[in-house]
Amino acid sequence: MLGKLLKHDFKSTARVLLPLQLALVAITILGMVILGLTPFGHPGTLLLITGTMVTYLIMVITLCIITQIYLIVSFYRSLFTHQGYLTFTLPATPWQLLHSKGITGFCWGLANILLTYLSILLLFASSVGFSDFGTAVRSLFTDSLTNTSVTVNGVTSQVSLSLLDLLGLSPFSALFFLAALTLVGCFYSIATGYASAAIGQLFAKHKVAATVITYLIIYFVMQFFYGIVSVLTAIRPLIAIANAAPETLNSLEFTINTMSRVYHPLFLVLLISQLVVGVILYLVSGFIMNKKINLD
Amino acid sequence: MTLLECKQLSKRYGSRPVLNNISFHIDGGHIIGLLGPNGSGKTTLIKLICGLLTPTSGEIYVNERPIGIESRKAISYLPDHTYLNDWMRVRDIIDYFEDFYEDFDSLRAYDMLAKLQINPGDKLKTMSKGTKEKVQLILVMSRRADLYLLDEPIAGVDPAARDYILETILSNYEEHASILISTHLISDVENILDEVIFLQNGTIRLQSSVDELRQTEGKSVDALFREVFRC
Repeated sequence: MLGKLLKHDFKSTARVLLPLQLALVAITILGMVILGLTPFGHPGTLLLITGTMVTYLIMVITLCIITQIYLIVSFYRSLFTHQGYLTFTLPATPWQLLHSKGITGFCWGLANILLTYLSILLLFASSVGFSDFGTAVRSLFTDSLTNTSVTVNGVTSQVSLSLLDLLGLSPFSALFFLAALTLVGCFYSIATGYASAAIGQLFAKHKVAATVITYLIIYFVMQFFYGIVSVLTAIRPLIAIANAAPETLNSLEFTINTMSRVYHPLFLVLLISQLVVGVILYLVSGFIMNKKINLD
Repeated sequence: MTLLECKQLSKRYGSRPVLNNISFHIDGGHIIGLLGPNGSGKTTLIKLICGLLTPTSGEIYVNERPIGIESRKAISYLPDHTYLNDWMRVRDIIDYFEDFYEDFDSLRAYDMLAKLQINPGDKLKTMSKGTKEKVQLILVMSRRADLYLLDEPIAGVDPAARDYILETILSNYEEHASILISTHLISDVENILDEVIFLQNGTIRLQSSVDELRQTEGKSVDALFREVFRC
């Protein structure tokens, strides 16, 4: 039954989401052509490059938002409007219905974000030239990006940092966090949207408004939580910097060690909290669909 | 075997009671009219049996099993609203029903579509409200279900099509199956009913076989309905 539900859910959502992803491909190709044909470093082309990048970013972000909104609207419409009369009378359990919508939403969300990563990489590659792309990526993570002046207790020191040094991450950790945060983030995003719709339909009136408000409440509570976690994880490293001997500030090892004490716990808390809250919200949706369904 | 049994069923919307402690049962092989004025709880009762609403209290059994996958397999439900995706073609919807319901007979569906001159390649959004209702009825009656729940099946169609729809209902259900029809248009359906249930303010005012009713009251169901529910 789950297979049949998945088949029809993918078919139904592909009608809108496939053209949206193709639009992302088209935007990427257009961006690559413009950036590929425009020489860097020429004063006359700066405006064109900046304009292209800004337009590209706005369009990519808009496509991501539309994809997410469409998935939530599609979930709400197929279950909690008149279409729900058909969906909830199919010979399937409410959990099967939720799993089907959940897997479909997760796959589309993941496809969208992976396509966005690929799009950014391709745009980057086309701007520096494909032959130099590998070198450029390597240099981004290994070469010095910044020479920072750090002043502690009146002593100023120069510190050279690469991107990964700035985050205090090894390439392996960075890749792990990127993959894990992408997967968990897609699940969390779908679980939040679906739970908001399931909770919103419990209200007797203004169900759509209740859905939006529920979503915003969950969003702001989580943002508040991340804010507190960010402050808490930054306290100990800041104390370590303040207490460090001036000569240790020059040490790259000290910098990586200090920064990893900020970002490692921060990323881990982000990952675990999104996973835990996502699972709770998913279970809430399932409970409502099983026990509290009331289609007017 | 009892096909449908409702035990002390109640439903409230907030503090407003819609159904109040209803108990009744339906056996196989009958056409039952669920009759009552607006707001008497007909649609709520049907939705509760389909599992689209959660009862405030009470129990519902279909084929002696509580509401769940097995009851959904046994029930073919026609709601009083269009529940199909507008962007779909009739052919796509038939595929959809064929995929999910083992008892769906697509040949029967295409045959009825042809008789009503509905093109399977047409999208629902291009159709009139009445034609959409006909498509829904065709889908529902193309199943070989145990229990058909039809909520206002003829309200949205013209009188000429009503006869065909009633004929469709009569000629497309199995002998062991039962049909529960909710309608205001009593005179149109009276001739096909075996039993009636009169609902008033969320309670059962009367449940009887049509023959018994005619004998004891000496009136048609339509005349009795007008008398009982006179404003």
